[in-house]
Amino acid sequence: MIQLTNVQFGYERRQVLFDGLTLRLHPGSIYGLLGPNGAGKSSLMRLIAGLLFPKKGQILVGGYSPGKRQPAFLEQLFLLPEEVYVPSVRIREYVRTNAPFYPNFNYEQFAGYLREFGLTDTQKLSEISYGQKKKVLIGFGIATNTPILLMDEPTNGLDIPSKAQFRRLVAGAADEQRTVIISTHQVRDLEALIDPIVILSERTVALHASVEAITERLWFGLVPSLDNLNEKVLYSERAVGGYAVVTENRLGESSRIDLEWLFNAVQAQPDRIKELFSTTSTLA
Amino acid sequence: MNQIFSFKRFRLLLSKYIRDNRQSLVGAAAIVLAFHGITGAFMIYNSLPSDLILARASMFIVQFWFLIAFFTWQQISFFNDRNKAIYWLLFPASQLEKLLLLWLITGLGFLGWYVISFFATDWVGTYYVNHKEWTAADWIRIRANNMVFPVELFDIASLSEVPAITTLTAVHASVLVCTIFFRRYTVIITTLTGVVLLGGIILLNIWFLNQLIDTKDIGVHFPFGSIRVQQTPQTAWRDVELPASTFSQIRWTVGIIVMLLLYASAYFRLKEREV
Repeated sequence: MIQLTNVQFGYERRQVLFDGLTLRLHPGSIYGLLGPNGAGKSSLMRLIAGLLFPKKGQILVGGYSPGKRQPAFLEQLFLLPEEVYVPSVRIREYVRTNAPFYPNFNYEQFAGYLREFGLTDTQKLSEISYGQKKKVLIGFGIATNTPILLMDEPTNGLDIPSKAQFRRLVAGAADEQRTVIISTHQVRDLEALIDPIVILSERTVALHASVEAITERLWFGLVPSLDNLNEKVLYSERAVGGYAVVTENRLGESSRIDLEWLFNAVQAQPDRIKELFSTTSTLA
Repeated sequence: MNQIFSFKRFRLLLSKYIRDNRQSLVGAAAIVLAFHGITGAFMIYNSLPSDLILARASMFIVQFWFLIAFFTWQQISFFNDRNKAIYWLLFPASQLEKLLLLWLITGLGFLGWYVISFFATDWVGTYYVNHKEWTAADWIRIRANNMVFPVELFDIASLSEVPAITTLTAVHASVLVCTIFFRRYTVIITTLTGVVLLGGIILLNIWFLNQLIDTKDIGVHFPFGSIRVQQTPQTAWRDVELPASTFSQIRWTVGIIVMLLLYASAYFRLKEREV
């Protein structure tokens, strides 16, 4: 389990990025971490990975304090950063020298991912495209079978077919023992994959809820006009033939979640969203 | 497995480091060899035997300072690249193993290659000097000044061991610490820090000696080394070595403590490094 308690963090003394951030993430889920630019998605990932240290508060990941960077902790975690670095070696050499550090690494699983991505292990990492490098690392990260898998904007640099492959691989690799956190601003890419959703806003977590809980409390849909909806509307935008709206779901109507509208609703009315989701447990 | 140090993990880390950085290591080794070749050809082995022996000993030290500083910076500067630093810091090995690896590669590994390549160059250079056709004028100068001929291979034991070892390791430790400490303008800051520190220590050393023996007629090479005392009348200098027993122990102790402090600083800085 990943547990952040009253975390305060900022790069400079007067600029606080997180203040009193409390979050619990359980194994068995693929968390989607969303937030506007500069909200701290990457920083939150790096705090969890122990690359940054909180100014106040406590972070525990699988019982370890990440900041200590103990080998036992590091072999339980794989972080795919937004900008990747790979040494100038062949893929098979990369695997041969890196995999022994991860006790649950599965070579066959990795070979399968390479095949799926259309790569061969004789290719040199310095001679393949950025998207292909990312694919190698995505495959490697999943094949490590670490209990914690952090992916920062993993679909950046991937072409359209690769995004679908990515979703398939991650969905297939998720299990009850594993906590996967994917940060993204390309919500459409991962809409069908991530659940629960964590949205950052105003130096803290504005929303942390499962898709089921979100659709219980919010309604997503198209309406011809905003008349009679004003009180309930959390977010609206002009769409063909009317308005796309996110409203409170007082009648318990079912609707299909739209992450982009949800994201905008949280950014527009973070306090109201917090209030709506604070009454009962919102995690499935 | 041990969380501080494991031989198995260290062996894997070392093997991984060498494979990942094969090109830059081979490149650095070639640069060192080329440096020896160039300085040897133009500054050492084109001199008369006595000048050669002096130049060779000086170049051994001076080149080492410059090259180890450059090599250490080149190998460790990845800390100042965020993506490479993330890759390195998140690698499942302890901070001690990571620092020890860097120390082994940039310190002991470099020293080993430096000495081997220096001796290889010296073997070629000395062979050339001993077999070249000297001019009649050169022979006159060689005989008139009782120069040693044929020239023998470089003897590392001819270096004054305490100042040599302490300054050589201090250079490595300082560059290691500075490269980990300073994210930007590392080379400039490291050089300035080195010059300021060395200058400061030499000045402090002179001041201390002046206070101790109440004279200004002394010159100092380096801390922990010999001192030069001006004779009266002022026509010559005498090198005075400190007595071997107690003072030698003090020099060793101070040198080792300084090094340990520098390496400890590097370790803790590495542990605290945020990316």
